[in-house]
Amino acid sequence: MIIAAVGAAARPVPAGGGYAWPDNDRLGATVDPNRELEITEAIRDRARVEDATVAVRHVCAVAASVMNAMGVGVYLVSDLGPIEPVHATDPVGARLVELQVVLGAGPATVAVAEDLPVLIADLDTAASRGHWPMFAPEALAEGVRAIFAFPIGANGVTIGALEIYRAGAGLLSPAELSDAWLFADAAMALIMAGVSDAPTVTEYGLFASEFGERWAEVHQATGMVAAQLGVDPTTAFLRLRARAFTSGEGLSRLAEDILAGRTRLDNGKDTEAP
Amino acid sequence: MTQADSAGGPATARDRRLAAAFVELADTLVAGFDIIDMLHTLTERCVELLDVMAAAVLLPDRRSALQLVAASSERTQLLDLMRLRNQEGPILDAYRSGEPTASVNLTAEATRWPRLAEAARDGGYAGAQALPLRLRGRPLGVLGLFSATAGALGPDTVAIGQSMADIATISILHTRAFQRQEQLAEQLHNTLNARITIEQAKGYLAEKLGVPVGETFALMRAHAHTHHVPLTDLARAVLTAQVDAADLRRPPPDR
Repeated sequence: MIIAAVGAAARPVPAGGGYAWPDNDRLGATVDPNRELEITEAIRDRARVEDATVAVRHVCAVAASVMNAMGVGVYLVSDLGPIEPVHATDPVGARLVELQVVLGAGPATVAVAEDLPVLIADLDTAASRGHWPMFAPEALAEGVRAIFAFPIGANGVTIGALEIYRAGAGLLSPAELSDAWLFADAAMALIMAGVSDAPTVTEYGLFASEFGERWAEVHQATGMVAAQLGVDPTTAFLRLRARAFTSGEGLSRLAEDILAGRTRLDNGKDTEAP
Repeated sequence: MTQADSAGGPATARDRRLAAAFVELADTLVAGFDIIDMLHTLTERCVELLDVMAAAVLLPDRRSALQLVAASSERTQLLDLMRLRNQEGPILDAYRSGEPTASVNLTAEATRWPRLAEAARDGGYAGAQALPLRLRGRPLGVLGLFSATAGALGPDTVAIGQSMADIATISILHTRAFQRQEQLAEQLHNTLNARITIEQAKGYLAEKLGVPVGETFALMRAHAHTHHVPLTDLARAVLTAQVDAADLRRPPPDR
């Protein structure tokens, strides 16, 4: 069963009522200020254990444990596309994040575009496979059965998405749903506070994580491919995604190979005259 | 009761300060004004004109939870009181009812607001007056006034306080607080894109110059400093071949 909260009039409701239309963008989630305090404290505690300032990775880590998730990913909107990943908590999350970037489609993409949550209670149904023909089988192969993507934003401004991956099928409970919103809001507050405090709080500090460092290689490889093919970075990124898609190797693995000179997208033939 | 509600007395000094404050706040309602900055000014004027210890403006976020957007003081004691903003107290009651809500002595409110009473004792606050920011009967937020001593604010003081709350309402409607959010979002977007562009340029240079990726950042920085170009602009120029990659390898010209 899919519950995809998509924008009114954006797409037709399929026969059989696979979609639930929320009354508001919060799907009935209620405010529990005590819960908000608890979650904020848990995020702070996580940072304190590391003796680090609170960063997006702490929000993700607490979200993953509270939401009983296999992983959590956070994306932001960039010029390269609607979803530039900034963090994933674990290898499964990292692979799902990569998958969506390669495909250019997935729950987070829709959540950002529509500024609404996308709740997929079970990827392993005909309806889900029909709705996500490329994405669903790949995600299932990673052992992910349910995905919940929430827009990160406020007051009509959407800056990204927070995505929760679960091994078991099933909807979020109302309590889990409001928790998920609290995590998306915590990410928003943290990122916005960081931006307005700049340069005291550096962007690096906000997003610092192993994932981010690995992901930087994807952009470096894009620049390398742009030089090899004599194309602009946007085209180079598309070529990179296409190669990752056809070869089935992950985007970051491909980026590693390109940076190490093991793989060239021009098949070893320099397009520039010597 | 410590308020100087000098009914019939020589209120001219305060009248003058009041007029000046209103002019100042009205002046901020012009192009390019920052709502957060303006609300901070408003809370500071409240402290001066209403003889209170602290003032704060709270607005609801998209879940209708009140958030502190401006305060006359960054004292941790005030922030401690504010931690309970969505749990109990005159602020929350004023927001929910849309009516002014006062407490002569917060520290004695153990029945109504037990946690707040304790926080007020720790924080050295006693009197509290919460004034709703209203638009056609709908609560938009709350202006909270806190005194160090117990006692109610006089009717004149409350009236001026409500005028301050109305000014806050007007200014919020005038600009919409989210304009700032949009600016921040744009700033974030630029920062993110800058990082992507710089990483791409590193890979581009590594390929063009045949040097390890790890060495390219230093080359870009050196070139950017020598030519007084922002790093991101240089990265973009490298990627669009407006700057020849080979130029970055050469040592800077002796000049």
